[in-house]
Amino acid sequence: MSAVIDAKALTKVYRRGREEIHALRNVDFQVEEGEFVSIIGPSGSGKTALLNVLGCLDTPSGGSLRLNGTETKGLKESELVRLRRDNIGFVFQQFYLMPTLTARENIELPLLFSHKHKNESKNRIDEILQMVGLANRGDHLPGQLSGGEMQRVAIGRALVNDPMIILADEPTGNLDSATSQMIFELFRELNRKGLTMVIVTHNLALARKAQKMYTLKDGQIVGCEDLACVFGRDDIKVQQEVV
Amino acid sequence: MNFLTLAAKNLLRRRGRTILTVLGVAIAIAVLFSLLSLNSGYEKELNKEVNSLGVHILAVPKGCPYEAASLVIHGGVIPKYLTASDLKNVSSIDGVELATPMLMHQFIKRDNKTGKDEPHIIFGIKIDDVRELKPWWKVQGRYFADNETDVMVVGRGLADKENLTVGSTIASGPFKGFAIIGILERTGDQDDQFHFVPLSEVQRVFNKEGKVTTIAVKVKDVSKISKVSEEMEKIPDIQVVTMTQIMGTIMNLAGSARSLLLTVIAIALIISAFGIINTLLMSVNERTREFGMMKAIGASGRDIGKMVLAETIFITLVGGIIGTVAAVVGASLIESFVKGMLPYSPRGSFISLSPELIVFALAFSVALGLICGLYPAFKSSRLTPMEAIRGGFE
Repeated sequence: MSAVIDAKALTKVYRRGREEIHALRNVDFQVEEGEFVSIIGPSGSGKTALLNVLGCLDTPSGGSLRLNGTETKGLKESELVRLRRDNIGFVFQQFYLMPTLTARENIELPLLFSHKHKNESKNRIDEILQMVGLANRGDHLPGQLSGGEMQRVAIGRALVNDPMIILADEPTGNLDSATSQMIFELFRELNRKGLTMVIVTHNLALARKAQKMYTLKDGQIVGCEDLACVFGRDDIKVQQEVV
Repeated sequence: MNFLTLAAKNLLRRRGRTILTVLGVAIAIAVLFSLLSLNSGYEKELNKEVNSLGVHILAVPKGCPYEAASLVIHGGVIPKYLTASDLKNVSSIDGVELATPMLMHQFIKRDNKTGKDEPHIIFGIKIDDVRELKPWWKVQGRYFADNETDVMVVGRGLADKENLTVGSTIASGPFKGFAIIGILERTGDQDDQFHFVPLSEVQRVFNKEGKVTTIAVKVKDVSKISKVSEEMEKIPDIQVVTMTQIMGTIMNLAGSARSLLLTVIAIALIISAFGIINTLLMSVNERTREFGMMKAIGASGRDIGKMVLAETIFITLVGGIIGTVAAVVGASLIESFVKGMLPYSPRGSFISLSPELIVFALAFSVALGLICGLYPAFKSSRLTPMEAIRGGFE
């Protein structure tokens, strides 16, 4: 397998007035194609900063990042947009759905930005709605959907451009445990279909269901646990623990 | 879904604010449309009135006072005359549609009732030319032909005063024996008091063969009156009196009114433009996180800018349509209001609702949207996804 994400010595420094905040310090991070990786760590440990840099939403202050073989350093904004659009799907904790658009239209939004043909779009959206279990809810507005359903719409939106990698930032943070479990199952199913998953979470129990679990603290990776032996086994009971 | 439907749905999220902004644009466009349509209609009506004067310029012999008519009425005699060559020179001036010779003369006639001598004015005219100059003339009886002799048409006021009827003849004076073949319907001007006979007859009776007192000129384009009169001034022996001097003053007033209107329009539009920019900037600032999300799911800065611009054009176009419709519907109301404010208003309606003006108003509203949307669109497109995501999301 080849590394679809290959980050070396990543640093990220934010400046707030005279103060410098080191969100990432020399982070090395690799994800192989088709891998299911979780990142865990306390608040302010740099999880979201790492995810944003990996997703080209933010530029690193130092180090290098190769995405699907492409070095991101020095790319123009338009090239980053293309790289992001063609390779990455984002899922956020707050869903970020457009309240005036139906579930179907929210899923369609990335297609509008990638200027895909309308006829193709319709079939693709039907397929996605089916995949995320919302075949009958496509015409509902976000306000008419439950939290779990809204996150499914957000996942559908992340999938519609057929990305190689899904980056999810606390995707279950706003959901109850049963719904979280269902969303996680959906991620596992997508992973089984070949998608590379990188999930940032506070939920240790869910994080331990990944193939590999990275632990971040103070902007550094302090642990990497290979869980391949238990990955995909539901009979392994993991203690419910929230970091 | 496309950018337009996305823009429309975005606007519907903040319905109240969108409606207020649209109303602001609608008012500005309604003001623009009403004032422009009233202004163009007003000028059109003024032009129509100038045209209805018939004669635009009078050429009289040099040295002849402006008040020639008054002089004649009071028994004076115009000491100088114009000739056929003057008529030829005037006719050849570019912009002259019609130049017709007239011989105005006075004669004294004893009033049948009072027994007093009273001055009368007689005009020797080319009847076809004068009828072209004064198309509103209507006659009871008939007009004469230019080569007829011993025939006369009189004004209604004169006919009433002298008890003249069609078929009667003049009993005394130099035109004794002339038959009244027509009486003009009342015109409301001095024509009601005049005698009209063929030009050659007046020249014959007063021994003024080949001589005329006046050349009445109608120009092709009313706006060229001053240019034509300047050309006429160059002819020796000719003094020019423009009949549009009063109308010219009114036109100047209309011009000043137009400048004032344009200032009002400009102010209304500037206020409206700042309102739109303010609304859009507020909207852009509130939605930075949303733009960040859009960038995360594949939107480019250009896409975001395009969406914001589409929203602006949507607001201004809808405002433009509402404003134009409101102006069309309320035009008569505005007209009666404006008419009351003007120092002089033509009789006809001066609402001029040309399709060009409607297209202009709508195109203007779109242009306004483009101008107002550019900065917010640029600002939103420049946000980096992270800056945006750290912002708020509604």
